[in-house]
Amino acid sequence: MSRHSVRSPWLLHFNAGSCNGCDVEILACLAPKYDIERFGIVNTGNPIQADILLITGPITKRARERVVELYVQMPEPKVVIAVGACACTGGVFRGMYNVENGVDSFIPVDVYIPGCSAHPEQIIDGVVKSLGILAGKNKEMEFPTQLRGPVTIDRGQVDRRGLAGSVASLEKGCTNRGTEN
Amino acid sequence: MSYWIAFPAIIAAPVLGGLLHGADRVIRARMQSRKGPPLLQPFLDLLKLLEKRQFIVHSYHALLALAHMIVLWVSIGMLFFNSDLLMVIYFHLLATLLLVVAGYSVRSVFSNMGATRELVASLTYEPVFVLCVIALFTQYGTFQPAGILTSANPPLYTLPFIFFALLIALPVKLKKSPFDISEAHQEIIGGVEIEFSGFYKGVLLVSKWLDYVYVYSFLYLFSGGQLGLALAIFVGVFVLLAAVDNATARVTYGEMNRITLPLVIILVVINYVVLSIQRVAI
Amino acid sequence: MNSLQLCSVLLLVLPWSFALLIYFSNRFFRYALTLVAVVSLAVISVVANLQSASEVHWSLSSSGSQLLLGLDYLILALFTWIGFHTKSWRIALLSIFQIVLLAWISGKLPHAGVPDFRVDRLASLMYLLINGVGGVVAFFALRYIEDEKTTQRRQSLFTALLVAFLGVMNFLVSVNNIEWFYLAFEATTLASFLLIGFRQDEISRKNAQTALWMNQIGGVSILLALALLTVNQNTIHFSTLSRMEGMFPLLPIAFLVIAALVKGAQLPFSGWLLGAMVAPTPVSAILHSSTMVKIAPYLLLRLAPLIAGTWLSFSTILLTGVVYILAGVMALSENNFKRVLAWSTVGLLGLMMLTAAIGTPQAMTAALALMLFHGVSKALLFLQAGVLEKVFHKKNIDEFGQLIRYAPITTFFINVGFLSIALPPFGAFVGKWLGLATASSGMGLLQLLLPILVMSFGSVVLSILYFKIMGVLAMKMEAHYRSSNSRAIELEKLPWVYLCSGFGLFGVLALAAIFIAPILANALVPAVNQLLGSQTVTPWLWADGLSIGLGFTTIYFWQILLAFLLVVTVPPVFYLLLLRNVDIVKEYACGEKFASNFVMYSYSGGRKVERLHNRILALLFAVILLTGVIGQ
Repeated sequence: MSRHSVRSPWLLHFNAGSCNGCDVEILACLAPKYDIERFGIVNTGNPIQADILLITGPITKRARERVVELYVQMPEPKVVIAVGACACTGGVFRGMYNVENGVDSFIPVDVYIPGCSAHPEQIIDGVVKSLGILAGKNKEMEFPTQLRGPVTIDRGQVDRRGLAGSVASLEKGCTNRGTEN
Repeated sequence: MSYWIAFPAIIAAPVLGGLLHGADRVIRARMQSRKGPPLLQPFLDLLKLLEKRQFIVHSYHALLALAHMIVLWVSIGMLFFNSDLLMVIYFHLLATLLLVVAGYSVRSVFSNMGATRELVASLTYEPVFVLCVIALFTQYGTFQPAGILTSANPPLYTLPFIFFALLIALPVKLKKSPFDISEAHQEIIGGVEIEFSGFYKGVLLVSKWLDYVYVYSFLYLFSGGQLGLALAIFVGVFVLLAAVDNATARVTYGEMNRITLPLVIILVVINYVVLSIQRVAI
Repeated sequence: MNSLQLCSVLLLVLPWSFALLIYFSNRFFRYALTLVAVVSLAVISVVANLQSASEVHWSLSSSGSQLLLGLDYLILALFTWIGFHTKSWRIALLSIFQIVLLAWISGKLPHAGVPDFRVDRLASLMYLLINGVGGVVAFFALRYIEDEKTTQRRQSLFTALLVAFLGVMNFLVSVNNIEWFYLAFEATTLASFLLIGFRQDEISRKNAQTALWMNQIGGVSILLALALLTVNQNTIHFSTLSRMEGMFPLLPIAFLVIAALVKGAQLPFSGWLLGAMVAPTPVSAILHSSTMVKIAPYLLLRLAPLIAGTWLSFSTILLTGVVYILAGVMALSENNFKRVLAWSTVGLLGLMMLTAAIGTPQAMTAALALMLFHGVSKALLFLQAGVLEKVFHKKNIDEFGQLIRYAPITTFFINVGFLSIALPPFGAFVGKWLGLATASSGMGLLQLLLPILVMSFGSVVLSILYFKIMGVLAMKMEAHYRSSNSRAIELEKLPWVYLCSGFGLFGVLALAAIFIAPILANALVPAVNQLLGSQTVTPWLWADGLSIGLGFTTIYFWQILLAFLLVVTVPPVFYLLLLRNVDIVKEYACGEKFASNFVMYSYSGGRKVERLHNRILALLFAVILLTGVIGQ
């Protein structure tokens, strides 16, 4: 159980191919009108100091490696919130050649916030819901559902630098190499 | 300060600093007509950081944060134990060094750049603290806080320009706009702090609180030990820093040096000229 | 002949004899003789310090002084020959001018029965610095020079030159007669010419010539001072000069100050010190840490009682203060490690001369402490530069990344070297601290303003420089900086000579840090009091056990010990620790997979400064002369 994370959740916001509609709404939450800092929430730009990952956008093929990388760089306990219709299911882009149809195809999602774009009130509601889930989690490691690489343990140190696998291993034989890095 | 006050004060220093930090966040929120976090938010943040899974980049990097906090705490302890103020300042410089080495020791652009900026920032504020101490010395004839705190004439009245110079350096030290170049959250994502997580980020948070205590202890010296005046200085500086933080945008580090260094030198010179005119007049 | 006199005579004679023996010996005897020479010289200088409570004087017979005068002409003739041989009109003209001047003066020199040699506390402390630190450097050079591509004979020559150089320096600090001081001054110039040009390639020769003509300007200005003193004062001895009462012309003193500034490589004349970095590293170490450049603060300490409170003192403070800050800025934008060290030496020499020129007991003690402990720290740093060059083949700071991983011992020494200049509790820091405490000496507030502004800004600029390099040494370490198959940190394997010299200097620094209070109270302050000729009843600094007591503040022993622990032991211990039960993660790179390879520590301020400084500082030299004239 993590009692204190609930009262000081720090956000990491990642745009995985969003049209910026949801991003603007998230920023509106931070601004004076909605002021989510009153819950102790801070928008950090840094995964290893964050508790909540807010993802907007349908996960384009360009973005998927980064999403997984950021996800594995967040220390447990952590929750993932998919903000907006695209992040939940792919939205209007669902089934297109360049998107991966939602966040949950790569990493486990705890809260879905629908809407195009999601209202600030909805986002706040979703974040508050996620706090309940966060409170129930512990320090156990969580893994991405795809693109998962090896974890090695060396002299009491868990080396998770390889935990986010690369797309190249996922798409062996695929001719479209444009997503590789 | 007698040992019976100094010991608990040293233990309580992070708590005081944490409260200051919390109050700072609240007052900044109120200035933006927000409600803001609770007053105890920094402590909640610390507790949260302690219960996270521990992530490090490598052991030396993480432990240097610990060393940084220890040295800072020691320097504040020395301040409370009536030590030589110049020694205190140089202990503080050692703390900066440890943080800088930590910042350089990882493969991260933001961290390296943060470390470089930390050094540039220390170029701006360290001389001011040294000049402050020496000015206090020329006026009160001692390098130890006790002698200054027991004098009848508070330094604020005799060294007002030096006090202004210190005010200019404070945003640099406390990493507040317009001189928060070494932290620069939107730009280099916290600078040196970026690669610290969990417990070690908590350690840096405590270091931040200790920095508050360090700075406000120096401000306390300027009250000459008069509690009413000290309170007035604290509240005034506190509100002023929050207002400036809210109202200004960040400058680049070159601009920072160009703005602060000449101003500081001019203020110090003015103060010395005024003092020597006073002495001649007497 | 008492024991102090015996010691100093031995210190004058022994280095030359050893140097001759070393020159004619093979490898084994070279090692053995150098070891014997280094140890015996160090022991003798320690004994000299224990005996130095009373100063001794003695003179040479007139034939002895004729011989020394002859030597003077010989050196000048050699310079002239070098000038014509290398077709350098500067060297030739300067040396011919000096010969004419010397011939003119030597006919009129007064010999008023003043002793020509004088060994006081300052000289004994200088013995300790010269023979202690210089000895360690000579010892280090044994191994270093074997890595050079030279013959055995030239290797012997190199070591012999270094040891002989110690003799020259010992002579320089023992003389009372300014004419012989001039001889020693020229001899050090000659030695530096030979040592800088030792590698005999194009750039070495060029820089050796630069060093020669620049230092000859110092020689000329000593001779001018000598001429003025002979004509006006009829005295050419430091001891009689310092006893002069009331008004007297400052112009000769101004010339001596200029000689000191040239020897101390203050900015328009910094070229020779920077150029000397092409020489083998022990040369840089011995010239720039313990011996040659220390002539400058030494001379100013001798002159300080004469110029304290005059406009000459003010203009000297102005010039050295400007140099102190400029050199720091220049060093920040420098990449070559030895050149960084050279700039920092220039800056710190500026600080030493600044504090010496203030001329109060506190400031002079600060200058003395800085001079001694800076010598040890800089020697340590230069030796490590040599190790980096010979063992790791690295010369530039941008190649230093991750050095802590495969060279932990060298890194430790470099860190200690820098920290011992910048931070408490080390001697050089105490020097800076005393310099800032000059405020206590009852100077006028406005007089105080300039030194204080300079010291507070300059010391932070240099600290930034050191911190930057210390950061770069640990730069971009891998997560597993231990090797994968063993739990221990791998220490580099260094030759025993390198290790011994490094640990020797580190030991000196550590002991001096812990026993700083008795050292200050029993050696440095009495030396300054002797210089000032004051018999102060109440000492302004005393040792309370191992705590330093001043009237207005105290540095307690627990603070010294705590600082020592935090500065020297905590970072290495933390380096050796390994955290368990933690997760290793990648550094943040915005979600990308690659790690950063950018380097982010350069400063570019120096370039802009460089264009300005020469004109301004040349002007300041003129100001010094002017203030000398005004002082009449």
